[in-house]
Amino acid sequence: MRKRGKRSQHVRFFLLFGLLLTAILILIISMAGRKEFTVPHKFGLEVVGPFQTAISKVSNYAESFWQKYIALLHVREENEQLRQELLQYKTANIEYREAVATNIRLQKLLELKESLPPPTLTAEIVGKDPSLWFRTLTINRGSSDGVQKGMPVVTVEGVVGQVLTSSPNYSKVLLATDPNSAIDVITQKTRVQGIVKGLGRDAFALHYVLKSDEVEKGDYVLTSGLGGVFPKGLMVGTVAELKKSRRGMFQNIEIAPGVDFSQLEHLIIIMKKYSLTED
Amino acid sequence: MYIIIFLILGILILVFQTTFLQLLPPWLGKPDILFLLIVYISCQSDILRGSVLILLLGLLMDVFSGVFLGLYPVIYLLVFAFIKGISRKIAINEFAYQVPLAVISYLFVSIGMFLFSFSLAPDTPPQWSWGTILLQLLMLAVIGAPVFGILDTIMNVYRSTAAAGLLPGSKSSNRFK
Repeated sequence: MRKRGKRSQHVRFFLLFGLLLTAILILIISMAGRKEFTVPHKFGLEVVGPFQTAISKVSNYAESFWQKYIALLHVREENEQLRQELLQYKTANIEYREAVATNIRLQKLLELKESLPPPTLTAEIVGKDPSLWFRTLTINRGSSDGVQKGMPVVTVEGVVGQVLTSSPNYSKVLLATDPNSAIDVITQKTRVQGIVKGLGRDAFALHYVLKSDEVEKGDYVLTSGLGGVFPKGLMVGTVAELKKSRRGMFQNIEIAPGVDFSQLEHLIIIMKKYSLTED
Repeated sequence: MYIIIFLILGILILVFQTTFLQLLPPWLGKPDILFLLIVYISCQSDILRGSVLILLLGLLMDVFSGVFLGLYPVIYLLVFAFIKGISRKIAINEFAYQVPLAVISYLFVSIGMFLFSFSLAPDTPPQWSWGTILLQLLMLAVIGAPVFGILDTIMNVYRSTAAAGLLPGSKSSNRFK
């Protein structure tokens, strides 16, 4: 009797679990593969975005604090007064240097902004993709600022990526290093065209370059303007490695990015009136 | 209340992961604390509350990571089903089993991520790197025990507070009161 009761309990458990899982999977599969945010996703981004902004600011401050002050902890303890004065001067000096560095960086950003086709918009990074499989960023500009899907995102050093999706105040940017990113490019010296795709690490692969085409190591790779997404002539990277395998029509070319993706801070969004990456 | 508490905890962990932990040098990998929370919830929660919580955390992860919406909820729910299946045979609620379970589950998740991403965008397949995956597994093994310890503490506080009837909607376990 007890055995039968236990069996029926097992059956009910699996039945409930199966039904629940099926319902949830149907719900999720119906939205799997979509690249547009739904209302709950937008709501989620809007709720978590301010936390990210705040924590990002705190973490940036902590990082700079760590870099600037920790080294000073091991200074000898003699001459306390002088040391404290020195510390004050050093602190002031670091602040000045940081201010100058920020000034130079922002000046360069401004110069780039002026050289780009208007209108453009500056943005700050508030979060980075935590997974191993994707390369995306969250920035503090959204659809209320006019940011739309497909808009190119650049920095002084070159192309960063493009806007993947946005909520009213935040956007998700697909980095050019993500395997799902593709950019139409041209080599500066030999004018060979190709498509740059991300490799999922800090490198690109240049695709569809015929074996007969001449590409030199160290040649600059720039946006061709043909894809309609990025303006012509933006720096993408330099040719780092060339391989011609026996099989196939194309060369295997690896590109070193012009942008240091680990040091990104401020970005420029090139505001296009219409997104050209609509599905 | 249980769902809300652990959802807030998940949000805090996600914010921590997308900001502070991004400052770590790349050779250290990307410690996935949220995944440890997913494993912990799968071990400790009942089916209904656990699946709802994991679905919500998956949807949230979709917002901040990846390109394909729906990928994380599917993968996390499969992890949940896997752990619930195992829990019927082994007493995985015990602390000693949780770290190896998290490591094995993460390997399955990596394989799932690779296969799903490949099937959703065959033209741009993701790169499988054993070095990175093994580093990540090692990182999870190292941080697993302290993270599960902290989560256990939170769970114990929650249970004792709920048992005392101090949380909204909870009933005191003292029947003679």
